[in-house]
Amino acid sequence: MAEAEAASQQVARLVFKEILDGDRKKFLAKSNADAKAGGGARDLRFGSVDQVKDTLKQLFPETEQTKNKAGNAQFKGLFNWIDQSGRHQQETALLKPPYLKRSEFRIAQVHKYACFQVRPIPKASAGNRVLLLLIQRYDGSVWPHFVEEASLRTPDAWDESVSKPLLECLDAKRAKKVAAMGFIDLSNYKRFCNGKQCI
Amino acid sequence: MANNVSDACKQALRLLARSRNVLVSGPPGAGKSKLLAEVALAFLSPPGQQSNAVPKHDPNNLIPIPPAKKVPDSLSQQFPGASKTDRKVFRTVFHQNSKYRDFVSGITPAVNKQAGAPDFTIVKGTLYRASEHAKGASGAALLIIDEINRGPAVQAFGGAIVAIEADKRLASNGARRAETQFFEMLDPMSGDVIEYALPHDLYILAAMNQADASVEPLDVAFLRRWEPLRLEPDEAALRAFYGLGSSTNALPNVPASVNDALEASVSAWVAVNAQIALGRGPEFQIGHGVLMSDVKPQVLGLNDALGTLCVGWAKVRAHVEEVFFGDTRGIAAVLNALDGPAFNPFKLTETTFADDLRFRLEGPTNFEEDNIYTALRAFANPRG
Repeated sequence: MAEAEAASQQVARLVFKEILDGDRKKFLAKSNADAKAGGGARDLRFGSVDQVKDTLKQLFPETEQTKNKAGNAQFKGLFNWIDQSGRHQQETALLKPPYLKRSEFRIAQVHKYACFQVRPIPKASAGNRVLLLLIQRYDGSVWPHFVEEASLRTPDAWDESVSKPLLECLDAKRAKKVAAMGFIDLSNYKRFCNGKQCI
Repeated sequence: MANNVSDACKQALRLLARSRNVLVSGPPGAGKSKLLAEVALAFLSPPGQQSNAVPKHDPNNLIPIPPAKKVPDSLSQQFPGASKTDRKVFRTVFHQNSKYRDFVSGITPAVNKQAGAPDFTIVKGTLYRASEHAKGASGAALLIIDEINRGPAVQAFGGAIVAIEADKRLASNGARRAETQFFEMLDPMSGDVIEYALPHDLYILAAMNQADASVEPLDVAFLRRWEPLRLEPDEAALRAFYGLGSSTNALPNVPASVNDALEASVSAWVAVNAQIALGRGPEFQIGHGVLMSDVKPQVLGLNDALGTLCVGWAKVRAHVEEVFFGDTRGIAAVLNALDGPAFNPFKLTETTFADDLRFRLEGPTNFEEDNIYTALRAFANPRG
């Protein structure tokens, strides 16, 4: 029984996205007055749609029809977290499909998600970027976590199968103002990073 | 190395450690590409340098994925370059236009050059770059070559072919040995023709599909420099993917559950492969991977599961038609339409044209949810 429980806690895959200062304002519901943060949209966007769609759909396994212009379905899942009292909490999470002309998946209105408000979101600085990890266990549950680059670079702090590709992706070459993003699937050894890197 | 790696991966790593060059072969869908990816990941995490268990998620920890517990690994002595810490994977895919220049070195026109700079530059090919990395004091490189027989492999290796065997390499400390084989190449650093040898900790893992009729076979002198690792269609892997136990008895006329449909799929795939092996040879079989995807059909409703089977079986049918191209009776035999059950939606008909006998295989144009089960049941039906 304990073995089965331990197996269910194993990490199957994770989707990651660098949280820029503008994104952080969205989580804090302070983006309205800041055009650079995307105005009042407060959407967390995931580009590279073709590369990440299959993995994102595993994190948001249910589909729901929507009335958006593209007529696409949106994807539904559950975010899990441990609250300040140590209790396991869950809330519905929605992944919006790409618009007709914008090739990005979106988690809309991120400031309304309680799971993102449990702990203060770290502020990124030079040499200490911040990532949002959406960790999916083998039991299917999805757990969001904000992590700092400095933590990932701390020797022996993280499991190397996760920290190494995350750091490689952060260090990969990409256009300025493009946030690092990708996934690591430990179940099938697939990875994606939106930068130019060698494995 | 993770203990959760597959047996095939462990075997590939053992063979790489022993022979340096491993050639994976097998029918399409037998798991060659997955194995290459698995070995690449395992190669980067040798025993003793990394934990060997799947990491666990700890939601209460500020570091939610701490290092997994290290477990002693009996394979540590059988791991390629186990003591090396600067490890890197290089990848290439051979194709009809693969050249020695791209793989080893050669001259190419300079693009985006500065004024006054030379008009040509010397390419550092994939083999050269992997070799140079492995020559570092703590370096080890894994060079993965997919579809090695889809390009002119012998030409691409050029003179390097004499130097790839384990006993023809440099010593582990980089020193020349009596057996070390050198070959001439254009040095990308100096531009001179130099004698070059391959390092101890360069490991080459290649994959090919022997049944690919569109490519030329590799010559024997080339093949004997590789340790073979053959992958076969694996019924147990397909059953595990479908969540099925061991084979059940007769299939019902109409599927009562998703499991009936999946059982029909497994039984039909086994029967089709047996016929292909008989008619064309075992290397022309179709692997289990062609019926596997990211979607587990057992969690779907019956109709959706049948739809998923249609996708996989369209590929199986295309493979059969390709392998038996021009041999209508052969295709009919594989699909059990020669003397198979009356309910088989595929029928072989005979007619004459210009006094010659002609065969035609009649049946559904495409697999659909309403015909796939009957077809699979017919394919799986015992042959007369």
